Amino acid sequence: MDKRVAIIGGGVAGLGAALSLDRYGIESIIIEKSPKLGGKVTGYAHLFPDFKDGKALVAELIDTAGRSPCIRVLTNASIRTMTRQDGRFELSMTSGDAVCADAVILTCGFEVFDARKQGEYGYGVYPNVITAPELELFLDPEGPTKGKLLRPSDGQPAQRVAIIFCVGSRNKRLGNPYCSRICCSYSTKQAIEIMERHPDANVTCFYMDIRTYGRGFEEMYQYAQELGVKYVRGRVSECSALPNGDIQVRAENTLMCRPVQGAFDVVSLSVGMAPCSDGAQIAAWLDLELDPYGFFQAKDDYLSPYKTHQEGVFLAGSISGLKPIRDCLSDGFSAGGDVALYLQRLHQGRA
Amino acid sequence: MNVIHHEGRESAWQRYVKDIPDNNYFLTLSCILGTLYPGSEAMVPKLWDLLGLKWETSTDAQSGWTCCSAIGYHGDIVPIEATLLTIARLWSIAQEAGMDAVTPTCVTSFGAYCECKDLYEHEPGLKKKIDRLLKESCGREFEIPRYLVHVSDVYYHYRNRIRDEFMKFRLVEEKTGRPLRVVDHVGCHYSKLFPEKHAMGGVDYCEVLSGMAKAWGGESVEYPERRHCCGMGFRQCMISPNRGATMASVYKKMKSMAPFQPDLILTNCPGCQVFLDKEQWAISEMTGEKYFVPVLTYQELAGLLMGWDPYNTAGIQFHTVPVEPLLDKIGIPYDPSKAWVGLDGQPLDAAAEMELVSAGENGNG
Amino acid sequence: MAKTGSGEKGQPDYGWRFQGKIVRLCEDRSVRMDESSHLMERALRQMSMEYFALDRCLQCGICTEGCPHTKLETNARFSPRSFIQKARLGLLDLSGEDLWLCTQCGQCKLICPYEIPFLDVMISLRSLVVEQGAGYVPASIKGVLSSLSSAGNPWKEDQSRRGEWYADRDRPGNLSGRQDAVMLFVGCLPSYDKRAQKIARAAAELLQRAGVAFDILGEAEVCCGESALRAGDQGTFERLKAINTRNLAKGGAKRIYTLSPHCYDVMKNRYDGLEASGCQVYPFVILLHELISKGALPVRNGVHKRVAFHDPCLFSKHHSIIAEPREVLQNIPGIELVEMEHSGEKSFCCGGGGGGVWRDTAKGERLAEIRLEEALKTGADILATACPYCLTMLEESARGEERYQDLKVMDLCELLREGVFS
Repeated sequence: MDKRVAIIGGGVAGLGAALSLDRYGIESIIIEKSPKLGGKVTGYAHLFPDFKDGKALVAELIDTAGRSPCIRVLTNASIRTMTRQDGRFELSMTSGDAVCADAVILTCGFEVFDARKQGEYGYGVYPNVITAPELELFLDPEGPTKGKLLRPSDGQPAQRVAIIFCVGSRNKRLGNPYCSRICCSYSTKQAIEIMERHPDANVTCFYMDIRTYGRGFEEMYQYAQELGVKYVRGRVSECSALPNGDIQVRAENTLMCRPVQGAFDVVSLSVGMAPCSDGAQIAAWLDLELDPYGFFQAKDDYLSPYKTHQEGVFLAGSISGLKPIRDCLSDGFSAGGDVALYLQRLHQGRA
Repeated sequence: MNVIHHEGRESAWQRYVKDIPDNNYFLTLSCILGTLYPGSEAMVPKLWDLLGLKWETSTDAQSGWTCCSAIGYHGDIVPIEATLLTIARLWSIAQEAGMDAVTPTCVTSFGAYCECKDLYEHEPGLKKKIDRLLKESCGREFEIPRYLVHVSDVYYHYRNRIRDEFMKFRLVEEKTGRPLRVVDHVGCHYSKLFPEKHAMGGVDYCEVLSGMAKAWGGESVEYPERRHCCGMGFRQCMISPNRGATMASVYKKMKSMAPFQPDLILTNCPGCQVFLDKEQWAISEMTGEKYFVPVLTYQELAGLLMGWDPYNTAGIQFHTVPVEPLLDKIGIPYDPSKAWVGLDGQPLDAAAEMELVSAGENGNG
Repeated sequence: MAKTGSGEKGQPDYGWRFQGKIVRLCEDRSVRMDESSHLMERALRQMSMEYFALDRCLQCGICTEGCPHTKLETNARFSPRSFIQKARLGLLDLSGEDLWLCTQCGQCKLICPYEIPFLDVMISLRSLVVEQGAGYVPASIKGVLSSLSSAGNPWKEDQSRRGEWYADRDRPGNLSGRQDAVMLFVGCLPSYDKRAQKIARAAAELLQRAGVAFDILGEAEVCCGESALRAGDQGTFERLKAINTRNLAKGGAKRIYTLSPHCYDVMKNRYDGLEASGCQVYPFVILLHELISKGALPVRNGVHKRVAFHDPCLFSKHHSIIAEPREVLQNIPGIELVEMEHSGEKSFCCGGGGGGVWRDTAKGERLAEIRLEEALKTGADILATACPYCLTMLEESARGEERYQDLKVMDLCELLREGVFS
């Protein structure tokens, strides 16, 4: 058939969807607004809970997609407007190009919480307060510091590290009352990476609850503790800078019912996720429903998780709710199947 | 010595810029500042006239202008309804004078005004109730003021004008040209109650005092306990058994700021001024640790930098931690012999002073 | 700097004064997680392989529910969960009392869903303090340990006087070759303590009545070493163990019965040399149970009393010996056996284990007091137990208190003796 699918967002969910459609021989075009495919996962040297190489995973997906004649890729491509006419989708790009599609899969992913909003942690003011994505960069063996964790203020090796969970999540005051689901896991993974490479390091995680669930996750959490990662249950109230650039962290250890205080070389804020910034715009163009937080609503969470209330518009990945990478990929693959069935019906005039 | 990103610091407070009107201030005073640091409040009208601002206050004893009662409210002896009513009367007086911005020198008052305004906004029938009570009790009517502005907000608003038009000195060490390190201590009820709405710069990086310090040549110190309360708290400082908490809070702040070697502490709250100043002496008596960082109100600092008389006008002789070393640093001249001088121009004699006091008590003064 | 205390005339002081008089400067209670806490955590980790098991702790708090200390309403509060949390973060204050509050009753270990070896951790930490000087050891414990080391008993008593309570009896001499012969391992308290000697005498009389050939080591017996072990003094324990093992082997009897559950526990679990010499160790109550079942010990006298049995922790929690003492008691005609609120495996610790019997605990802060209240609630006339430590702890708290004047604390042997001898 000569049907084509537009996949908006070239991250792992989008790639998964494209590869899935490729199996059915259906043409797809991935529209990615940034210069490269792969989305956020290109920034992850290791994935949790098994420490699989994230970059290699993405490279494999991109490579496989690249070898397929059915998959076209547009990078640096922003959509100026999107309309629907007679069942077909017309995408008008800012570059002036036009794309036509019979079905659309939305795989726009998520945004990372802007840590400057939580002023008491001093992100953007104290150099030694960083965010989790920045910590990933430090820990990347091929990154700018070749995997060494250094203090941004003076470049010295960082020994004492604090990881603060739930920054921007589970916080009604700052507007994101939900749990971002994957921060506990990625933070624990990062803690493990730090301890494995620097056995003398002193890593303390300040948490509210530990939500590392799924196969292999509890084991990862136990492993972190065996390595010596310390977990203090209590939300950090403030970070301040000492004269030498050390960051003083204050929290209550609620399990001991005592306030705790510590000075650290580096404080990493495990930032939560928010719905993708383009979501509201796309929802307006396609007349789609968003939940109160801005995530896209599926037609039915149980029976049709990849369909929306609009025929021909599908969802995959974090756009419909934050989830681990495995789940984003499986969303993409499954959505491809749904789309294939939809197109077949269209083709047979039964849509 | 500060290890911070200055641009980040600047953009952090600029998210919370408060709208401060240029004029039409109704000045209300603090219950304690005038007694303990008399120069501060006396300088406000002086400066405002100098700036040519339109402002009013009430000197009519019959107007019913009283303490805002927040001291009692925070001390758990006055219920909130009574405070709402008292403040409503105050606002009524301000509005009678035709002013739409009520400007207290006291931060507790400011906090109480903000709280009242917030309550009116969130409690549907409350304004009607207080309207009725105010009418019944003293025949007055009131509106919620358009602006709730602290006197330090006004000083902040005009900091550049004050500097450019009137300041003879800068917050700079005269001999070396080094900008003085200023610890800005903002009253909790100014910045923490409604940080987004009523604090200039929000709460984490509150700008009202550090803005003045920076404009006048100094630099603001970023130290760990910067946001820590001074510990005053009516229930802490007024009740003997709890006073240890007040002293402990000041002690904690002093210990934290000491490594940054501050030259002075700047306050905008009378309570903070009193306790940061006086507890330093108490701490040195108890622990032997001498911090002795002079504590100034923003009015005193402005007055001193404008070259006003340190003793007769600014009243620095009333400070527990001596301010003279700071004056020496800046290069402000002063005559110590003029510190304690009576109305007749002669130095005050302690014995004679006591005679005067007892004569006054016996109705002969 | 002056500290708070009681004011003039002994009244509690609420005044904040000054100029040399009573003042109060609140201290920052924050716990500091710094280099020293990190080093301590490392040291604790390396100290014992079992310690790594603490990582399994979920901080669920189920241990705290079981711990008897959490039933106390005083400041002498010990929460096992909190203790583990502090240990894992290196924030344990080894200079404090906490480490010594634990009586090692084992309730926490019994109910922990992750089988955290709490008692082993306690012993390891105490050994860090006692053997390496890493913290505070109460003076009473120090005294006991030094006495055990030098004199073989906790009171620096003469070794030669150990068998004195039995001096007027005929000793059978070497028991080897006699299949039915039994060695009675007496223990320190029943050997030297006036009150506890009554237990020993009752036991001896019962055995004689039952016609059992038995002997005691007498001078050749030293402390079983349990107190040293529980206090973390491995060295002293090993020396005492060596002496006892050698002398018991020489003694000839293949079956050893201990009067104290503490001696039993340590000899059963840690005297590896005993089995090598073919000896088996049992608690004395098991022998009584056997003798009564065989009919060798007729119990004819009625004792018309209501009796509550206090299970020693080491019996019920560590060795599942719950039914036997009760069956022994029930053989005494006229006895009405009642159960206290916490009985069997859930038995409420008397506070004597883990060194508790050597320490001074202020009135109002004692676990024994809670236990006595439980006994009162049942309306019991007699609070019976089968451990010299339990007897000591319970009696000491009951003594002189009007509330407990109708409650008599007795050992099982003493009570049985009343049923056997007219």
